[in-house]
Amino acid sequence: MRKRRVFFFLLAALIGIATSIGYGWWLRPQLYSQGNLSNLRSDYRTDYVLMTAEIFKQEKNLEDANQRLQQLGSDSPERYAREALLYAGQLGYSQSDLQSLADLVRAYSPAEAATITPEAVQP
Amino acid sequence: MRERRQRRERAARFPWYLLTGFLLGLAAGGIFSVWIWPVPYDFASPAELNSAAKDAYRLAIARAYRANGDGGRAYPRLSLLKDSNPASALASQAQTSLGLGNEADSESLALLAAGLDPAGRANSESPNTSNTTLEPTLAPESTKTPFGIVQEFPVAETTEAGTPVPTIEPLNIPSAEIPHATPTMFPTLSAPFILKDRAVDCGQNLRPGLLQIWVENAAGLAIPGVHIQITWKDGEESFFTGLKPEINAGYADYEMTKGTVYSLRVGENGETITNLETADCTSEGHPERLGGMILRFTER
Repeated sequence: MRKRRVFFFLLAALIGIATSIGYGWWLRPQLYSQGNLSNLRSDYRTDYVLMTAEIFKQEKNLEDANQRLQQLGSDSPERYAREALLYAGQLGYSQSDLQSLADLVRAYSPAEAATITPEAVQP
Repeated sequence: MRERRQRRERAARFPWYLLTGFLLGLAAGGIFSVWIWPVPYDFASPAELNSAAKDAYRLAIARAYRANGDGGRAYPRLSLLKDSNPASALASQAQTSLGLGNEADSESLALLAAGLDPAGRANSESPNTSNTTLEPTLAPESTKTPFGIVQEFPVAETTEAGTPVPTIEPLNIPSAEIPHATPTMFPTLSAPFILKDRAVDCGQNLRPGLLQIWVENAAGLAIPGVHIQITWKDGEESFFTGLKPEINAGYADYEMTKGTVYSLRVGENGETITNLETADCTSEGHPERLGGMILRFTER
């Protein structure tokens, strides 16, 4: 009798764990993600940063680029630019696109200008 | 007899241990999946964004288009948002931006809207088939659509090691559907606009007191995104051509109030047109109508 109760207790606990993991990993992200730019898939996010780089290339307005990139989340805009440059390299973006992204990254950290080139991120 | 009664009581008792086990499991699983090992929700496509984020994405597309003039890249990007009527969405956002005083944003959105035909498709492959499309005067530029958007590729997520990542279908947008880039002619400060034609309009389908403005270049082709400033005694307002691409890329209108006299300037350096007001249609045989005006501007 006692063994039977322990078995069903553990079974109920497992069902509870499965239920809340289903909620936490599947339902909750969909319910509370709210579809912000921070939820963009990484390839779309990279293209969004590329758009920002294209605008920056023309307007040279780092403050405007900052505002655009800050919408991607709570990390620093520079980090988003760096991630996008690396990811664009993996995806085989064209040399001119990589150059635009590199220019944006360089604008955030001019001291490292010599180390950031499109060639450095191409696979 | 006593034993039988005890057994009956036990059977009738609620199985609290089951509920306890379930609740403990719920709590443990909740802590694990929400705090200890949460799944990052970063697999949304632009179409799944909320309206504010869509606006931000749309604006970025428009500003990038304004910066590089590459319609072959801008329109596929725009199609990712899956707006039911992209031209209308752009025009509406342009109006909102203008209301907020963001003229550069409004102009960029209007320019992008001007390149769309009424059906909402990119109108960049056959510039001569529509009267709203500009004839290219610049050297054509090749489309430079990023690989990440137009080709199928494996998605390499950059999440931390050990983080559970949901299965994501790769992008699969056939590159053959991507239209080629169309060079776009932007209005410049060095080309002031002069009034070519001014007429009273008492048409039947006219909105009361409608001031219609048509702007074209020296070759007679419509120009979108031209800034228009209208002033009257107590105020002023700005708008742009191209916000109604379903009419014409170089078209804009404004509803005048009866009894108010307006002045209007097209472009940054254009001439100022004064004494604009609603027209009396009595001489046209329609005393009941409140007439408007049609102004046609051309580049000097």
